[in-house]
Amino acid sequence: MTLHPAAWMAWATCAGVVAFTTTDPFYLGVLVAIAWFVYATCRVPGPTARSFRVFAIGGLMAMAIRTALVFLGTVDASNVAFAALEGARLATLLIVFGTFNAVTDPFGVVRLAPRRFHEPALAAALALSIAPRTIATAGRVREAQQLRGIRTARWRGLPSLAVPVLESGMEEAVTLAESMDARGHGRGRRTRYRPAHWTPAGVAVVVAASAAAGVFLAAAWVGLGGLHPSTSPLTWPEATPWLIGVLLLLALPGIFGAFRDPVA
Amino acid sequence: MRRLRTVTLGLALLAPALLPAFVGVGNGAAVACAAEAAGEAHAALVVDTGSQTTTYCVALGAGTVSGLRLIQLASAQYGLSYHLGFGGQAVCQLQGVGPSGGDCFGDYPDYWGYWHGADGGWSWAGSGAASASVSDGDVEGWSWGPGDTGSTHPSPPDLGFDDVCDTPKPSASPPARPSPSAVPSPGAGSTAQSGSQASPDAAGPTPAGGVTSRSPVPKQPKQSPAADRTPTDPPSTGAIVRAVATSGGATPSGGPPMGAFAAAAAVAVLTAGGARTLRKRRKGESA
Amino acid sequence: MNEVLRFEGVTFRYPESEIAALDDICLAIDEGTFVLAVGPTGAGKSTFLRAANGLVPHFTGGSFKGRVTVGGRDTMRYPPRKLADVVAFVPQDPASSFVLDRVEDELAYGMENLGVDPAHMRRRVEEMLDLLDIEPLRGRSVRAISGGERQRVAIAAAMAAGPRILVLDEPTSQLDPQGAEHVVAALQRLVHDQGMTVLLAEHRLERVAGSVDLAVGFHEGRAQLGSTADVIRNLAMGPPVARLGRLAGWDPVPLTVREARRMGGALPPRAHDRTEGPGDTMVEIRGLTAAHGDVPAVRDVDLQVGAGEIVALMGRNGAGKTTLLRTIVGVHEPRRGSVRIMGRVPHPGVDAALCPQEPDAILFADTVLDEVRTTLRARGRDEATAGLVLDALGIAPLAACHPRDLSAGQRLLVATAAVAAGGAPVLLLDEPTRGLDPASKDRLVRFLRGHAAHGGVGIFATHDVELAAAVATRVVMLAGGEVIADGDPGAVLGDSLVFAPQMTRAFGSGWLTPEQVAGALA
Repeated sequence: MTLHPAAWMAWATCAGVVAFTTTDPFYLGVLVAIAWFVYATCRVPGPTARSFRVFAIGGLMAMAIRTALVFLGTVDASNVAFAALEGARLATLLIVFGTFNAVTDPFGVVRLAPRRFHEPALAAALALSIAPRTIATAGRVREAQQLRGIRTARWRGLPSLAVPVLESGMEEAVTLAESMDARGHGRGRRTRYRPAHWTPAGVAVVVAASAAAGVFLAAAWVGLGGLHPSTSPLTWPEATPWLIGVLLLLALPGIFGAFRDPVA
Repeated sequence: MRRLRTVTLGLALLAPALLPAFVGVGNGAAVACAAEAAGEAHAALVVDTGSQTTTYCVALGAGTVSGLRLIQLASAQYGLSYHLGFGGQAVCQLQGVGPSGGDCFGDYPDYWGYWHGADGGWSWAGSGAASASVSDGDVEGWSWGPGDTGSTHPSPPDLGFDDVCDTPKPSASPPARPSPSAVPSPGAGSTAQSGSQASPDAAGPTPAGGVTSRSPVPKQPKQSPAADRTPTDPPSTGAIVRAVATSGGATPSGGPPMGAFAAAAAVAVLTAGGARTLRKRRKGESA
Repeated sequence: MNEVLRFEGVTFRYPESEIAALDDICLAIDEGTFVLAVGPTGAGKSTFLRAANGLVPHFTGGSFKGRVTVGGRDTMRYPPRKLADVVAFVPQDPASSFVLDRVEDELAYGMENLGVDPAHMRRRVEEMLDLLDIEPLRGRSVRAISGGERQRVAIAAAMAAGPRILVLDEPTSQLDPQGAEHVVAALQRLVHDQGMTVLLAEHRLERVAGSVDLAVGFHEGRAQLGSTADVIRNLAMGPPVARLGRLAGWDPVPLTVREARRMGGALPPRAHDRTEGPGDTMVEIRGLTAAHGDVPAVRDVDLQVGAGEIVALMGRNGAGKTTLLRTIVGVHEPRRGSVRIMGRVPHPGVDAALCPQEPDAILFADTVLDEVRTTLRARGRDEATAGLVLDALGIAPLAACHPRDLSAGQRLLVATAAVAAGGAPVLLLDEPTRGLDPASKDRLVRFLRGHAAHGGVGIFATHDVELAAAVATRVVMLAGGEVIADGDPGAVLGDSLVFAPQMTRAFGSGWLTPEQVAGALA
């Protein structure tokens, strides 16, 4: 579904802001489900679609690392819970970003950047595209090794997997940068073949996402809604139903996406 | 050179994953302190809700903690319930008394006053609990009530470190002001003498929980407002209870909130909708 | 006539390399010429092409001497993006150059960068879609189309920008014979009708030799521009008809089938030499049905291959060849039916080894020798035999090189060595001659023959008709996942319009290799 790339950026930013204001696992859980829903309905087929999985795994890893750090100090249920909640917030932020990556064409977003930021925007887009490419390459590489009869256990095989995968990923990114340059990228005045349009759906998404972010920011300021559940003592975190309803505003792009005609 | 490129790229890819974890170390350190060994440093914490005073002998682990941290430790060790506000920098609620939002002055004129123990009495704290340091042998006090200064705010009953942390003398109950309504009979379980925790006899407090129910005693009106530094200012009334250690980390009380079911329902709907769309799209893409 | 490309005394070395990739190149190409760059793999063709649009040296670094002028601009003074309006480049792997998602957006990308106004852009996009026959693909994602379609999209995108010179690196490597013809014809139309200059590098000379005006022959970094016939003769390379001409001592050497027929005259159809039949059955495939995603790619295939056979699997792009190979080697689960190698379910790498289409995925060691040693070690074989494997494929001189520093064709040979070193009796190769020059192809042919002679089985999927004609003992033709022909190469290839090798086209059924024809004419 084509939303103006700026609409997606607004959505991702607002979702990120909401995630930032709370460590309540109920709200974060709903937000993650929303991110997945939007990904499932709006993803652009291609290597970027893999981004979601990449960032989801990254998020879980970050959460695990954050929780594990507790074991460096006092270990009790409340400390572990505190760390886990912080980690969950981090994971949610990464997952939202994964959705953003999977629903937009990174180079489409780059084109929005003003001319001065073209180079860094391009570098960022290329860097982002490395992760999903890497996953695809990893699959091919593992299989290629299997074909030679090199049988490696899943995790032990990682180092010998890493080199060809990274090198391939690097080569691919470099080749892409080369060909973009050779085709005149960053040359000067550009025109647009199909300029991105603001559709009513895009506007609605921006409005809804901003509203959600605004409500959560206000709630955090005022201190209501149980945005930061107490871990000491360990109690059930709060879950205010109307706040959950506000969260669902962020699912709007997914609802639009679910009803679009599938692209041929 | 090729190898260098690969290594650099590998680091570049790993860094974003590790970075957030290390950002958390700072916070983690604040919460995860060095292991607390039994029998080392202790501090006394006195919490006076106005109708009841509870005392906690809190193990500090190694060294010094902040006033806020002391409360957290008391919570972990004794199940003291608390709620912080103003971005986690101030105490809003203790033992269920006080506002539950982020504004600790939500029940103004009443609020939690913060005291440092001084020679068995109390001196009004000059700065917040987040920046105060508490070390071995210190006494900290919190009292609920009105009054914006040390001379107007009720202070907790005068208690010294030994009163809280050592085996109490038989008549240990320090100036327990006789209240108009008599202290409920022993054995009723709602109030307890600060008897030895080991004593099996009747007047023992409910052994399980450290906090007993509030005794239905009306608040004693403010005592002599004259001298604000008099250590023997009799503050509130009510019995003084010594907290009994709970197993580390109180168990979650009650069940999940109603909103949790709303959350679960939302998650279910979203997941189902997404899965259905994915399945439809996959069929379409490969057709 | 205007000059559109000029090289003056160009000598270039890649960073940290002592060998001159380009050695004192001097030549000039006029506007409106169709030029072929030809030469052994690693001789400098790709480097030359990249020097024409500035990627060398701006993106590669290294030491560059001399001057390249394209469209009147000095490539040292102008970075590639400033040359984009004059020269457009299509790399060997087109997918690596795709930036956007939809086909029509990809076509417009170059024009957007050049600031062409939207109305004009829309017209050009339509023209290119028609010219390369890709109109039905316009809204599709570039990742969701086949290899051949991708190649056409990449060419269309390059042409759309309206450059004065179009540079292509092996543009037909992924295309079946039909697709290749189509592309070459489109390029010719551009040259003749629109006066564009086209410079392409190609190994499969039979596809282009007859259509180009001039050739640049490369040998160890040095280049010589001349008529196609001269260059091909000097390099001792060429399409099969040229080889025939050399063997038969003809002058000038024929470049097209037509010329060869005229010079050679008519010949009676050739009977198949009855060599000994295949040995014991090693590969047994019964009722095999396998899917690629949700689409059935292999339908109810029955096949038996005996020891000593070399089987060529042929068919259009998407006919199921790759899926069949992967099922035989054991990495792909069939839906129905069975594959047995010597009676057992195949273990990948042990009973059968497959060298995939993308060899880069296999290579991870620091040197070519290490690659081979790794396989030997993993399979518990003697590492000292690594040298033998390299010799068999003729890449012993490359033993100390880093695989990724080599040219595409060389990498393919290294990958083949790495796979074959495992000693599996059944050797499977997917498109083994992509990017291989005739000399390397010969080595591969000899290697396969040696493997078969020792009781092994070779099965390779290919578009390269000449390779099949040269080495296969049997040809299996696939279409839509089904076997539509299976038998002696002379018969199967002779029967086909599209897949007939040049000798068959010139002289009739049964004639496969120049050697056979030369023998008969003598």
